[in-house]
Amino acid sequence: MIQLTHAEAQELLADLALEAGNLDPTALDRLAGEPLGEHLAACTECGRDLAAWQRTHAAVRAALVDPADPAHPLRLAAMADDEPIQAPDELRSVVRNRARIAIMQPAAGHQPREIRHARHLPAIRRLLPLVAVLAIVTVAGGVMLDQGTRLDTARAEAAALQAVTATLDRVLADPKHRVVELRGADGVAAGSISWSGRDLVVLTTALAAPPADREYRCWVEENGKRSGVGQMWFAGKTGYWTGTLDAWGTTSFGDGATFGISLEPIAGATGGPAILAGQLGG
Amino acid sequence: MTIYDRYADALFGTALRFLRDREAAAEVVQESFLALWRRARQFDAAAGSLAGWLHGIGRNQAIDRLRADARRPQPLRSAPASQAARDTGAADGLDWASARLAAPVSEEPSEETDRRWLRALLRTTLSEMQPDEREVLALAYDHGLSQSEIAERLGLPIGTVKSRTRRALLRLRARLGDVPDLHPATAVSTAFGGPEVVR
Repeated sequence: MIQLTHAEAQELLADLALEAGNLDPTALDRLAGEPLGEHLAACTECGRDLAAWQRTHAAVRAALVDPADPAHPLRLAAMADDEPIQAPDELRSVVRNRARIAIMQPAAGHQPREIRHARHLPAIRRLLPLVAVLAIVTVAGGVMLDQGTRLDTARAEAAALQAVTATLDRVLADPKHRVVELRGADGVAAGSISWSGRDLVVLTTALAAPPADREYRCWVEENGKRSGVGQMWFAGKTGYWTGTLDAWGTTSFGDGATFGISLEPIAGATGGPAILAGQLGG
Repeated sequence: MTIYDRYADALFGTALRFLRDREAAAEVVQESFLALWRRARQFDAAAGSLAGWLHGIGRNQAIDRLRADARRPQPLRSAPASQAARDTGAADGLDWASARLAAPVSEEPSEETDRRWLRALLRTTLSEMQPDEREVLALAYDHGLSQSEIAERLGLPIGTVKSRTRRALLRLRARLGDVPDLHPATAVSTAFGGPEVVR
C-alpha cells in the first residue's frame, strides 16, 4: 500500500472536492482500501478537511432548494448577478468605538440604572470635567472599601471613566466644540452631550436599572431616520457613551438632528421612544 | 488590513440580503464583531476559519433579529425600502422568501430560515467572484456537468476549468464550509467519521 503524505492527501481531497458527487458517502465508500481512503480514515485533520468540503457542497445544495417546488432547485446562475454590497463607511468607526469600550466593560452583573430624577445641570460646560473626575475618584474610593471580588469591576470602571475623561478633554480642547443638555421626556436636564470635530461624549447620572431583557440603546435621528450607534455603558452611577464622528460631518449636524437614548429589548429591534435626548443640530 | 476591513462588507451584504433593512444589517455587523472580540479566546482555528466563525455569529444575530422583528407589527416589511430592494435584488423574484417577509418568522420552520441565510451568504460570495469562476460553478450545479464536460462545453483546457472551480470552491468553503458546527443535532457521520451538516 502506498502511503500518502499529508500534503498529497489534501491535494487529492481538494481535487476530489471539485465535483460534489465525489464526496457523497457512497462515493467515498469506494475509496476504502485506496491510499486516500486509508489516509482519511487515520488522519483527523484530513477528516476535518473532508467534512468542510462536504459542508460546503451541502450548503450550496441546501441554498438552491426551492421549498415550493423541491423537485426543481433554483439556479445558481440566477443568483450570481448580484452586485457586491459595501458596508456603510460610518459603520467602521461605530464598530471600532464599541469594541474599544467593550474591552473596558465592567464585569457582568453590574446593572445600569433607570431614570431616577432628571436634574438640572447649571454651568454644564465648566462642571463636566469635574463630574468625570469625581466619578473616577468615587469608583477608586470604592476599591478601598470593598472586598476583592469587586476589585476587577472597580478597576474596569475606573479605566473606562479615564478613557471617557480623556475623550472629554479632547472635545473641550477643540475651540469649535459644542455642549448641549441631554433632557428627559419631561424636558428637565439630565446630562450632557459634548462633541467636537472628532468625538462625541454623552454623560448622565439619571438612568436606573432596566429590566434584565432590556438595555439603553443610543441613536442619532436626522430627517426622521434613526441610526443606531450603540448602547449606554455604566461606571458607578455614571452612564456614558463615547463615539468617533469621523464619518458624520462632525460639528455640522443638520437642523433637528437628535441624539437619543431609548430602552429597547436586548435581542429585538430598536425604535422605542426616547427616554433622554439632546438636540445636536440647529 | 484589519479583520473588520476584510470581512465587514461580506457580513453586511449577507445580513442586508437576509434582513432587507440597512439599519438592522448594520446592527448585526456591530453585534457580530463585538461578539467576535469578546469570544476571541474561544476561536479554534482547527474547527473553522475566522470568516466562517464570524458568519456563524452573524447568522445567529441576524436570525435573532428577524424573529424579534417578527414579533412586532411590521407594515413596511411587505414592501422593502427602495435602497434595500436595489441592494438585495429583492425585485428579481428569485428569492421566494421575500414574498413571505410579512409572515411572522417565528412561524417558519428553522430549516427555512437557515436556508434564507445560506442563500444570502451564497449570493454575497458569488457577487465577489470573477465571472469565469461563477460560470463554472453554475455549469456544475445547475447542469450537473463534470469538470471534463465543462471544459468541453467552454472549449477550455481541463486544467483551466479545474483551477477556476477550485478558486470558486475555496471562496465558498471559507464562508459555508469552514464553520464550526452550530447545530450539533444536525450532524451525522460520514463514511470516515467526519460530520456532515444536514439541512
